[in-house]
Amino acid sequence: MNVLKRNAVIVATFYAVATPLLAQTSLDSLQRLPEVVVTEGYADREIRSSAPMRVLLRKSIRNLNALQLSDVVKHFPGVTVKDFGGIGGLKAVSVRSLGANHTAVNYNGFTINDVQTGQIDIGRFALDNVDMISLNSGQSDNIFQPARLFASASVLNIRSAAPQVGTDQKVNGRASLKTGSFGMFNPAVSTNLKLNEKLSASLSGEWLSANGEYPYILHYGEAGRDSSSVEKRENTDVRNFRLEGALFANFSEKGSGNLRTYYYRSERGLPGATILYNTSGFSKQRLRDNTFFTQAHYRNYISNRWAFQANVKYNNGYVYYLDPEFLNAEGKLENRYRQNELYGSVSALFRALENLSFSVSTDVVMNNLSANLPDFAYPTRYTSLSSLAAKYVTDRLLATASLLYTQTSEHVRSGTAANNRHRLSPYSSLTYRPFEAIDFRLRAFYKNIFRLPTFNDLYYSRVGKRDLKPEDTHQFNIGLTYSTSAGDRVPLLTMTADAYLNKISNKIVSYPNRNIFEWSMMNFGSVVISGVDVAQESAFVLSPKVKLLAGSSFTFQDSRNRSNPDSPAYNHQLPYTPRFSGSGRAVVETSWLTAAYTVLWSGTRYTSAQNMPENRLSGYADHGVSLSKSVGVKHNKVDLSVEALNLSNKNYEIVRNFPMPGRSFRGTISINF
Amino acid sequence: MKKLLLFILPFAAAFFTACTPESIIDETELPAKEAKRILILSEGFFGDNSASLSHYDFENQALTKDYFTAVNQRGLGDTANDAIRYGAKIYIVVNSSSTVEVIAANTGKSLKQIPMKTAGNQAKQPRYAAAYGGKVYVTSHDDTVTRIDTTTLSIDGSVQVGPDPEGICIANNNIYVANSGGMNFPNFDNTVSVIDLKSFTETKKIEVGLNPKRVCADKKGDVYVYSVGNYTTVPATFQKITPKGEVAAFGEVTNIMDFTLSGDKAFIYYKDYATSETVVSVFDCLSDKLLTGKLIADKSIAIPYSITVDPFNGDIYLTDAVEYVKILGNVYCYDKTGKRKFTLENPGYLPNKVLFLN
Repeated sequence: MNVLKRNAVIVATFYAVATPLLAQTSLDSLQRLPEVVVTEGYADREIRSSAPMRVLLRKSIRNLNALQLSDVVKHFPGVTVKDFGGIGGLKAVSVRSLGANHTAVNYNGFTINDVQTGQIDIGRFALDNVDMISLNSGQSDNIFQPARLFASASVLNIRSAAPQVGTDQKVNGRASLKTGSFGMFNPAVSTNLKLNEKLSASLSGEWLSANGEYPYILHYGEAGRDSSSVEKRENTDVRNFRLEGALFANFSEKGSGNLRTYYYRSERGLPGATILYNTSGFSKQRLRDNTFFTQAHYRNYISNRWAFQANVKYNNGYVYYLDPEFLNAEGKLENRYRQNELYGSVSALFRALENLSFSVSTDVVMNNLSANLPDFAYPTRYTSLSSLAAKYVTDRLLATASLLYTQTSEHVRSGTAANNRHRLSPYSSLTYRPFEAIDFRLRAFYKNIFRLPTFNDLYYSRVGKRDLKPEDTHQFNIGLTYSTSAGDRVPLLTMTADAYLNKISNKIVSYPNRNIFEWSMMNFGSVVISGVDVAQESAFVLSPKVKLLAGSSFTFQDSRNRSNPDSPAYNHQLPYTPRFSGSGRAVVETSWLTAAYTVLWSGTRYTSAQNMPENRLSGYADHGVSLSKSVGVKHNKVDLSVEALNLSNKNYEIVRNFPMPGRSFRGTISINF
Repeated sequence: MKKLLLFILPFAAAFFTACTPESIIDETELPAKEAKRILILSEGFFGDNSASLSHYDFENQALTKDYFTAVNQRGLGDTANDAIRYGAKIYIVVNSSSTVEVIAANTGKSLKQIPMKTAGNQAKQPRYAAAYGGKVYVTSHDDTVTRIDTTTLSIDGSVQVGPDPEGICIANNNIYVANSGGMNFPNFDNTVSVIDLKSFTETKKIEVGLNPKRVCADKKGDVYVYSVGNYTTVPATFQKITPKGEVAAFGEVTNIMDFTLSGDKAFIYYKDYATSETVVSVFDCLSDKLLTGKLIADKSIAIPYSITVDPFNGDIYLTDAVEYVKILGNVYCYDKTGKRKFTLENPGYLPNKVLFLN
């Protein structure tokens, strides 16, 4: 216990990722936690983590001029968000050039999975109810977690706000209204209820609608040389609705759990690429998706040495796609996809020695997909994942290692099923502080993991291929972190720098098979990525009443296509991957006003595998500013903020022919009651 | 003298009966002239606005990429499927942009951009074009053939055909259109629509192989048809439709990815994946026999994408989509004996047609 006390360890912050309620538990119970975690605060966790980790808390998120999760994630180093523009445009996140399929999204402790495409549109997550967003490259240092969270190259964690009801309160909450350019209207309510000493609940709901019809400049050739016209994006309307409820229970000092039910519905237009002379011809398509899930978590810190957790989840996803102008006999194309997931997991943690703990976890997942496509296979996949992990922690050293065993069993209602797979995936990481007096650490990790072929890869009409192998990734990372403070004026200065080498082999790509009419998925590609991520954060006290927080990140990615030495694209930079990119943010806090400035920038990218001048996409910088203020109205706190986004008003493109909105404005009012 | 008279007579006859379209010596029936320049149409990728036209001058051997944009200060658009030269004008069929771009053959200057929209302003998605008698006929995936008047450069008629028409050719005072039904996958169509030129109405549908794509007529008026099949169980077929409408199949043609017709010969190409050779074989339309041997067998072409034959000197142009996936294509030129003459590198994405200019 001495170690714990000496470092003033607040273990709860770590566990809070999975169980928000724990944040409220007292220190007494913390001391029973068998896994030793040496960490003090969130900023510290970025420094102490043995694998790169970025964390943003609610307060920082609020100053990021962000509406959607994707807006936040763009600030993380090493991240490329493929953003098709506008609120409804798809936003897929790729970490360190590994591709969106290698990024798991962890929503309050449970992986959100899309077995059809393997990609999660992170634009769907609004930030109203979000408490913390973090990103792990490799995996978290927390070994007491479901096996599935060991099973991806990187993990994006979203944690919702937990009920924080004061002792003399029964109910509190927040109501907010956000409105802005392009018809954006976004009311949200969240309430927390204390039912009794052991039980609390939260309920939150949100509506987001926008017509999204932003103007843009359509270039009919090279900007500045050839002609252009001012156009307006069409069919960009969005109507999203989210309703979410959670129940939190402290059964005893040792046992706690939560139950969360989530419903999301989105109806939106797909504006499509800006097709010269006929944009309207391709902007009639509609997409509707419904997601429902319910997830339950239980954990028990049985003794000083043992802890146990169990998780179950049911997820139902429905996607409806309509092209009302498809030129078939019917005159329209309608696709419906429905997927189900059943998930169960049990994990145990054993603290063998003061500094050494072990965990085992086993997860079972059932996924199926149905679609109204001709000759559809109706696939079902059973996946079992088992992990064994160890962690050693001292004041100056943290080391983890894990081994994940994955096994799949594929079944189809018609045709042949894909091959079953089994794999062993190792991970190990280390961070070491060489000098007692300086908070300077060296770190390294290695991870070998794969992603399974998606149901689209395997079973999509004509294209899918049953014998596809999983796509493998290897990640090597070395880095250093440093944290210091220079008196009262500079209370915080942190810096992280990591260099990495990633390899993708058996990359799953679609390729013309025998002729250009017969495409199929293949394990063809291989990619070698070397990169550097640097991030710094600092706080300055300019005067007793004025504080400045500044953060920035810088990313270098050299992502080379090494698929086929005979290809003209061999050794070229991956499409849509800038070699240089970065972000910056500065927040000035005074007692009466907070002002925030953010910038995202990217160097040039290529839209094609073959890097040629004709497919070069120029770089951009996206600046935003906001002013916010809190005022007390009677007993309630009212927050007001105004934001101006993309100040330079350039319709830059992240994806070619999908212009981003120009300058826009947002205003928010929220009342805490 | 008698010889000369015989030579002049048809022209004189044509002159005196110029009012009746049947006897006009159409531009398409004039003997070909030597090409001084060529234009290479590149389809570009869907959603990428990367359709382009490249210009190649034989004299100074200069390749000008993106010629259309350079001349017109705007791009051609998205997915250019076909282009034909008719008289002094070139008609470029741009599928996703749903336009027919009419340019002057000598300057490349756009004379008119004809929007291909239905009455309800829906994009017709045009595919292929053929010209005759002062009109250009364009197939579109809205199941029509649209007629464009070449003097006014405006649409002056449209006729309903089968589903998703692709290739089009004109012979025997008829328009022949391959109804693919491709948008109804997997329920492809298997007919060729015959449209009477004069009345511009569909007179019959002739049953051919599944998923017909290309139709080309020879001098006798026989229309050769390539049908793709369904990619899995139903193989590709090569057939002909006689002027009387009878269909004959040529089972000996088993390897075919596409073909073109020049003079009395059909030039059929395919990729032999066993040897990785791109092969051009010749089908003699007079004897209706596949000639033995390969005219061209070239391993440098990764994905053959189109074939065009210079009607003057018989040079054969094969285009290469390379990897198809966003890699600039190449054009390979062979003489009529199949010997490689020259290569034009990277004219654009998915080069799919060569036009010959004098």
